[in-house]
Amino acid sequence: MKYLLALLVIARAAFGQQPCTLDGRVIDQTTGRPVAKVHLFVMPERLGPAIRTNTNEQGVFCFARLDAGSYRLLAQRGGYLDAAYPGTRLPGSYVTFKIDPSNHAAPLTLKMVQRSILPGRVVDADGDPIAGAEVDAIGPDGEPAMRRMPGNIAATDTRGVFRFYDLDPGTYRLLAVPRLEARSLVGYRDSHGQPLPQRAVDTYYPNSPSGEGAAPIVLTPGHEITGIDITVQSVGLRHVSGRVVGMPFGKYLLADLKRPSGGVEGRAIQLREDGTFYQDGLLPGLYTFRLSGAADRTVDLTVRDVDGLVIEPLKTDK
Amino acid sequence: MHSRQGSSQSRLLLLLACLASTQCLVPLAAENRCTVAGTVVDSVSGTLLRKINIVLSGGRTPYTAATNAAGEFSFDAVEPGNYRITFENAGYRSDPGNQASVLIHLDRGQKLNGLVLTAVELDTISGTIFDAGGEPIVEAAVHVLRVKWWHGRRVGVEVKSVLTDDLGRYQIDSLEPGDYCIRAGKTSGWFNMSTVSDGPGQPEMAEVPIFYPHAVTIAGASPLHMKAGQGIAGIDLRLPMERTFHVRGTVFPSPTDTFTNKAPFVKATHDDGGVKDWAEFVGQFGSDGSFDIAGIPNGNYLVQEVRGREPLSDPVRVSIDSGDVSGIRLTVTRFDATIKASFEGEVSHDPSKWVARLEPADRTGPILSTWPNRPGVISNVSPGRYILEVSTNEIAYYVKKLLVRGKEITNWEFELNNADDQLEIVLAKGTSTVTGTFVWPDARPTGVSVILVPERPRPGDFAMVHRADIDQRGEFVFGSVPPGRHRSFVVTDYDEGLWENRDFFGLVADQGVAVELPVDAADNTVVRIKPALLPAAVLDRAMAQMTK
Repeated sequence: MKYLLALLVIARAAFGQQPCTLDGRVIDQTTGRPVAKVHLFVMPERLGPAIRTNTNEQGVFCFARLDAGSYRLLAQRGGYLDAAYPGTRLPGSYVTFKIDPSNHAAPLTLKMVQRSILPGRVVDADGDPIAGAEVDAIGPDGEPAMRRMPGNIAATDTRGVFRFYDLDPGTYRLLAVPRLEARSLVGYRDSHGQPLPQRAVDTYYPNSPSGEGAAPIVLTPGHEITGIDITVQSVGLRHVSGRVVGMPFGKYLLADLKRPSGGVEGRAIQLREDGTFYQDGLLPGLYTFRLSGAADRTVDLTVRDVDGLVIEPLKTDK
Repeated sequence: MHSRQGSSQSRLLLLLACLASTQCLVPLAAENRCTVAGTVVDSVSGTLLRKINIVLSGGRTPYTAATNAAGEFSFDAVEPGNYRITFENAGYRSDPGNQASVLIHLDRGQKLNGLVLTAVELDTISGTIFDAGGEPIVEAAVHVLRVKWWHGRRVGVEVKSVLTDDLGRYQIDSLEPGDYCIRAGKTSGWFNMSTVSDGPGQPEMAEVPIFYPHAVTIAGASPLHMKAGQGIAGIDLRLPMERTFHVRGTVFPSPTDTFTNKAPFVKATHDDGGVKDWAEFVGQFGSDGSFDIAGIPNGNYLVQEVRGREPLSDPVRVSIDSGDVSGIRLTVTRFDATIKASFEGEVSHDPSKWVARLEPADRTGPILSTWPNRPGVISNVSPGRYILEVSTNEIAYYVKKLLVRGKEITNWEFELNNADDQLEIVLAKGTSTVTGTFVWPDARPTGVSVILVPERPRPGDFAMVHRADIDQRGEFVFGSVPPGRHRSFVVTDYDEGLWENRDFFGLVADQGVAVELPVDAADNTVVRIKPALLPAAVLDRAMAQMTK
């Protein structure tokens, strides 16, 4: 602490300024070394310009004059994650600190973390790029608290390339979600008039449709991880058939499948006039079939097709 | 004959089995099976392309298959019917060739082999965005804009936008060949930082958005001419740090929603005579309807309250000359326009039979429509010039008359100023079906459009230009065309906005084959036409005159 105060006194002398209203220094969180050429912005809580300054070679900054009020402090530098005070750099942490020019505050120490870079490619089984896929970086707690792009969501370009650069250090699993195309959903037939036999599915790095097969990736500050190819898997599609009995029905029966990425893929299955239905092109998985007035039916299409499914009215106790 | 019977019987058995088991996937009878086969080649290099996903849609059943390693595709069990062929590959245009679309007609059992489909590779623009000090900007917004024709005007339309990465780099993929302008600006981020200063009371500054290479407005931008499959790298921009100012004022009445993503906002755009569909500078609302747009450099601007692309207030001209501008008053005037429709000769004028849409004449705002729960009313109309489009499920009817406040309108565009400007439409029977054949001189089979343009567009017309695809036999059909004198053309690269431009039409009209469609045409009236190809030289000459 003595060292820091001494440094600040020297730095102020170096700045050639009157005592600062707000001052401090910026250090690298990993090495503890000062970070020079950091752009610092003090932003008023209410609308107004951000007051700017930079750190010097010793990582020291000084805002000579600030009006009284509530502010947030943002630090930015190439190669580093943004740092904020108070709170965190992430959206949602809206907290401020008070400035009172008549009462000099203790110097701040801001810690900045070098960016971890995680580039990669999403490819098919032949190694050809898959464009327009979403890639989710899932932290140790499973679903990220707040999905944000860029941040913990990236998208592939036409070369199948994605790049994460705004992740905190830590352990992640990557999930590639191929773009949902109309031909995956709307009863398309193949070149021989048959239902499409298979479809690309959400895939964890390196090549697993399920979370159990996901390989964790550890990000450390200032390091770039290379060679991350996610090979999107295809799975055979299923069909279901059956009938609605003992109740009036509309035109459609709804079938919902929970996707590994967290979303729900819903299908509206057309009901014929006699209440029968047939639907192919379904991803394997556990579905919930819904029809107004009927009991929800859980149908397992994970390993086989289902025929003869009967949808009946909801039984109520009299 | 015997085998046919056998086939029918087995099909019947299968159908019965289907009904019994409720599992039904009826194979197509052999005599109905059509074949569509061919190759896909790159439009520039001519090389055969593998893994191109081909989609046949528009028929009862859609089909899809990919080309093999030799660039070949073959569908051998397609139902007879009309299909549109498209590609579903990122990086390639969805419509084959540079045409509007490829339409094919399949008769029972037809074998359509030897199709050569051209895949147009899409373009990529990339570069780096720097701040005034030469450092790359992380998460700067880069916008790609295209100048398009919309009726009488050229409108800047935002095509795509991306953010730069941690090294300030951006890459914009999947752009159609054409001319593009690039615009970059700093994003305020969730910290909402739009301007900076060196201390309280010091001048406000900002890295202001610019167009490539360093123009303030789109008029000074250098468009990039992108050919098929081209990738242009090194489109770098360096945003200048400039002194900026505020525009402040009040909106009347004050907006009730200032929080949700559908909330209105106040924007300032450069007043350079161009129509824009993007916001250059966006303001913040106070709780009392006051607004403050910060970060605006010197220049002339239009300030307006909008919701998305929908204008809410009239624009106000503001000139910034080294100082803030205050006291701007934006007034929102909205009213409900009422529309009455009658079907000539009918007792019932069921409001569910028609839908009316009002579109701002400059096509920069949203289309407002009548809704089933409030028939005959279009809500939230602001005063201005409009085009009315009426569609009806009575396909033999067209809009014979449009009256505003009891006075018949003869122009396509008209003014609506307040709720007293009541609209009345009279629908009458008498549309025609227009058909014909056009065989491409060098036997090119697919992908050319025929268009039919009224010599005098009728107010209320659903379409100012009618377009039909020509199938591989050379046949085309326009359904439900209103009466009047039209000109027909065959075009290879249809641009809707251009053809809706009456100045352009005036330059090429005499090249079109005249078609007179009868007034009060009887049901099932079919008019056959023989359209002519619009020569490329005529099109080029007209375009040159238009862009003067």
